[in-house]
Amino acid sequence: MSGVTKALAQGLGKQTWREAVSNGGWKVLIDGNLGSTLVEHQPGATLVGTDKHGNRYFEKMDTQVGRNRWVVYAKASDYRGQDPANVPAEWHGWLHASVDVNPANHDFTAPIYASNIVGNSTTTVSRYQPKGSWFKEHKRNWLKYQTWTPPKA
Amino acid sequence: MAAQAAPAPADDLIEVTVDGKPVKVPKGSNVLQACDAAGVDVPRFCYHQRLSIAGNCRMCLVEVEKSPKPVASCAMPAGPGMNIKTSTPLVKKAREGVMEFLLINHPLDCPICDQGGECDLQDQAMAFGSDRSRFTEVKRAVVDKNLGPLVKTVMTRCIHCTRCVRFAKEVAGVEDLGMTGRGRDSEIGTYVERMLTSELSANVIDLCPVGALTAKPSAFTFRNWELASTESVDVSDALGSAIRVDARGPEVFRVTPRLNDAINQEWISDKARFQVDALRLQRLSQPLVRGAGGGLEPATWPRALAAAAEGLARARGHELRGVAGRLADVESVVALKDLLNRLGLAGVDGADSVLLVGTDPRAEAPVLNARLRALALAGVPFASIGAPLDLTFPLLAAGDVVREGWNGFAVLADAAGTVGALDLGFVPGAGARGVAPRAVYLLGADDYEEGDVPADAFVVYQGHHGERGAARADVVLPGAAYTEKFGTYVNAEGRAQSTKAAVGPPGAARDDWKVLRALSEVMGAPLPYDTLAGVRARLAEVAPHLARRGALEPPLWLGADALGVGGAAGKPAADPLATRVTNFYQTDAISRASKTMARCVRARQNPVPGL
Amino acid sequence: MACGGEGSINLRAYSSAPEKTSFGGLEDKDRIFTNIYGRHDPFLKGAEKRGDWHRTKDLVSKGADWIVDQMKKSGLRGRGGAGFPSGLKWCVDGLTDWGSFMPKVSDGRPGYLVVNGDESEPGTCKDREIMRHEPHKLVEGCLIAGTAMRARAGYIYVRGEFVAERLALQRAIDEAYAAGYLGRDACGSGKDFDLAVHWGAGAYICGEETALIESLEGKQGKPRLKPPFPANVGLYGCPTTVTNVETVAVSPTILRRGPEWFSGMGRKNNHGTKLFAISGHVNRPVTVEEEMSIPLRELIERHAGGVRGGWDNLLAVIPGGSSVPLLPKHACEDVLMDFDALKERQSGLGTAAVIVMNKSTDVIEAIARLSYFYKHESCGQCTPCREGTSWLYDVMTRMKAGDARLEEIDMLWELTKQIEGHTICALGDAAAWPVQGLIRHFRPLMEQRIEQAAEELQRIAA
Repeated sequence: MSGVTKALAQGLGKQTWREAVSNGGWKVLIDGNLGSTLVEHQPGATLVGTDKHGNRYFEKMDTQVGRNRWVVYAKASDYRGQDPANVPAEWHGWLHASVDVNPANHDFTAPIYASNIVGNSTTTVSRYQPKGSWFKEHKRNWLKYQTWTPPKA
Repeated sequence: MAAQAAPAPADDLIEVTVDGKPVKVPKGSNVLQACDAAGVDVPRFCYHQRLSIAGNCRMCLVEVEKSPKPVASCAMPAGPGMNIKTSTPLVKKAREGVMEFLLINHPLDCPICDQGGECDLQDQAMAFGSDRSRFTEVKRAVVDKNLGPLVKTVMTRCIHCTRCVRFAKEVAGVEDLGMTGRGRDSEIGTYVERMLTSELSANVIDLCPVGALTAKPSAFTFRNWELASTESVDVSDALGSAIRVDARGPEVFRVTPRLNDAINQEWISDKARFQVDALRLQRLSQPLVRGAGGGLEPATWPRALAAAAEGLARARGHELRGVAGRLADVESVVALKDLLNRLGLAGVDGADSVLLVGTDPRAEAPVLNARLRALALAGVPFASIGAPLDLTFPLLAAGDVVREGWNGFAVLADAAGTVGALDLGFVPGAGARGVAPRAVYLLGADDYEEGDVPADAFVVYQGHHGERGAARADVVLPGAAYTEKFGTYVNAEGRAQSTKAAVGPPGAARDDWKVLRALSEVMGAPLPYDTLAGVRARLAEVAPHLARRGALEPPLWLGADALGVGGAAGKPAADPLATRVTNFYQTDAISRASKTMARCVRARQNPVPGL
Repeated sequence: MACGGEGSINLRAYSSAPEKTSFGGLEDKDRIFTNIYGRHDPFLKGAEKRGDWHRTKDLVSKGADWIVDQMKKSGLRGRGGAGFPSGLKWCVDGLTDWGSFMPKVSDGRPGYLVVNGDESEPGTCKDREIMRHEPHKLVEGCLIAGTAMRARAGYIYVRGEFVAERLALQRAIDEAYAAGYLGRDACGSGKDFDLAVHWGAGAYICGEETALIESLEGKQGKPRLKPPFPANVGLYGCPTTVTNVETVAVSPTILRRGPEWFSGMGRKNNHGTKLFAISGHVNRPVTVEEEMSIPLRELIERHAGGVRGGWDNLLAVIPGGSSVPLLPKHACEDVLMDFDALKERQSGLGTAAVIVMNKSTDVIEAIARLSYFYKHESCGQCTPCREGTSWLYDVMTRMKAGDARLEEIDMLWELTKQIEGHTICALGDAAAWPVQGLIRHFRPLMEQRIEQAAEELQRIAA
């Protein structure tokens, strides 16, 4: 153990530090978001539920309003996994205190227009491609005129 | 045609002072014209020099000495010795006030407005307006009107200048537009939902100082600062209106009128304006040769030229015939004529006969009709021989008009290429009659007579749009349309004017005279010119007046000789004389390929959608 | 004689009587409209009994120049609101270098007299009394005025809502035709004069002279640009003079009794009698004929039974119909009811429709209602009026509730200045003036209203 981790462990308590490291590994030291999520809030929080992506939702009602519910992403170790777009609609409502119903214990009927939540695809292959992009499957016709096709003989 | 206004004699001038600068203006001018003459910019919305004065925008307020209030300069006649001030605090305040009023109910949607960048309101708000608004109430909203397939309306943007109403009433001669309601609730519109039944309707797009009336076919396709402009000449009818072709890259997006007092003033017909979408459709972009299977197949230029040369070489003397189409420019016609002459041919056939009577100017040249209408309203009697017409002005019986000493023999040709071809003597030689051609060269001719092209003849089609002519041809040589070449056209009055290339021809297509020059090389009878200047020098040899651009020339072919040859000595036809243009919107290969024109035709059949 | 005089027309020179200093208390013998309350027969028999059509032939045969001269001497000013000297207006070639009066030598076009009976100004109800109870005075006046202007025919444009008035007028005209007073050889004078009644659809703007002409021609009632003035290019492109009903109706009596009698009443430049329509918070609202220059207080107290709750309960008075600025109580104490005196107080005589408001009135709301009227009646032709009147109304609506900021009062003032004088016709000015009057005289009240509303808002929020 280096001096830094020792100091952290002394400041935060052994239990917290262990939890933090088990969730995020050594990246806790690099990623400030992850660190603050795990280290600052985690102690004493109750795990309310887990969604289909494996994101875990915590609650600690005696903290400041607006900071009393949070999510720890399933792929928290990867900064690309920390994606709010991965939060399903029902959990989104719970997180933002729009609803007080615990989605884990509640059967939500998705509206017919709801699309499957896949998260943010930026930097991945399936990201949005503008029309005319080389990576687009459907190649755009850049010809600005339409050639006459002679009638079949 | 009205001649250019002659400069007024000195005693008809009055002197006024604009911002301390003395300026002489003709009697009867208004204060606004005096300011224009002095080079002082007075902002305006409702005033337009070719429309009546409404004086309702109040933007052109100026201070006139001895007048307690600022006066609307467009409505105030200039008097001798008047002292006009346009830069006083009073004027500045008045302009700012009016501009603020105009903007309170005008949506701030310039980023999505097609007029953005060329909007009078935008420009003048920058130049003369205040830098902020104090308006915190709710803005007005107005339901958009359906004015047909050409004019898109966003009536919330309307500032009620009534230019469109006055244009429809005074120039186009249709009382379709008007103002309903009053106060803040007043709206411009057709009283019931109906399209503008005028062939000039789209000019309201140019007139509208804001984005209330914009072009529907090209809505949201370009921003005007992306376009490169080329000054050209319209070929959709024989009037030869002055146009500006606006293009972005290889695409022509827009055609707008150019000022030409002698021809079209500043109007153009809907067809001239909106047929340009067809320049992207049905194009001949590569040479085609009829293959073994009987269908036309793409070919390279050398192969196509060789095939054409081989086919044409089969015909001898009068068995070879050339037909120039409605849109053929003079350069290509002279090249074709020279080529055919070199192949040992005495005469060729003019494509289109000439309409002497039985014409419908409303369909054939609507801008001309608007000018005739102005004459008619000024008291000049008009009559028509032929089918009954609705020309938006009253007609008399022919007998009342044709009198002794009447000097009114004018011919309205119905296509842009007609007069030029006739001027070049592109008429059948005496020996050509009665001989069935074995090879026919169609120079953009899609409206040929069935008899001119026998079923067994070898046909070369040179043109820019695939249609009847190209479908019949054995070899198709792709040429350039009028926006893609420097071509000379002679309008119905005999004025030679030049189009200019705004974009390049598509694909492998080439300038028409170059195609003919190449073909002549392959056929072993090379034409003696290699440049456009060379062709034009040759043109000047054949018809010297064609070298004098823009000048009015008496038509050569109206001489007795030409008429004798041209076949006017025939028997009177049994059918009643009627115009050949039955469908204004679709007259040639370009307009027939245009989707916009097709929509117009459909809309015309049902001008009131609710009925 | 030419009626142009020696260039400048000095009306003062014509009043020969020693200068009067007290006005009001018109005696019955000096009343022109003796049947203004409709207690007698309004039609031909009754009218002739009251002196109408008495030797009209002689008046007509004296010729146009004589009539104009008499009118000039009488000092009559137009009763429609602007107060333009009628003698000058009727004078066919007066000030022709302006081009604003009808040419004397006809260029082949007929001339027209148009009588403006489109009385729509809020508070005004004088012309309708003439039209329904004294129609023959008007018809006879038309003949006289038509003669003075060398007009061939006359049109009386009646407001669309005035049905009874229109019918009474039509009956009077029919009677006059039957008696030979109108038509070919009218009154046996050898002059042909035709008269027709036309009615509008009830738009206020049609009371503006050029809009009235447009409406008469069958078009939308929207004011025309001036110049050319109607006297040059008016109805159907012919020289036309548009005159108010009252101006025309008083003219026969002036001619009969002489201009000296008429100019003997009222202050100089404001001669004669006038119909005052008093409405609002008075005990007896009334339309009464009184001498010009009568003090406002005397007018209200003598004829209208005083202000409700006593003179001290008075808040403000709009002295000349809705389009003039109001006068607060302190200004009402001694103001004389004539053109010049009211103009000095930054108001106007207008149509002399006195609207009295006592202290029970919410004056801001009253002016806001007037703003609504002008917003509703703006024709929408020119920008400042179309956009400005509706903006004024919007702001006034908020002012009414105090839902505004203090600096918006200044903005409102500037707004009225932006409308005023920038429009085609005077409706823009008319919309601006009441608001200007309000701000000029009741600014503390408006500020108090706004502050109160702000405090209330804070109280609720707390």
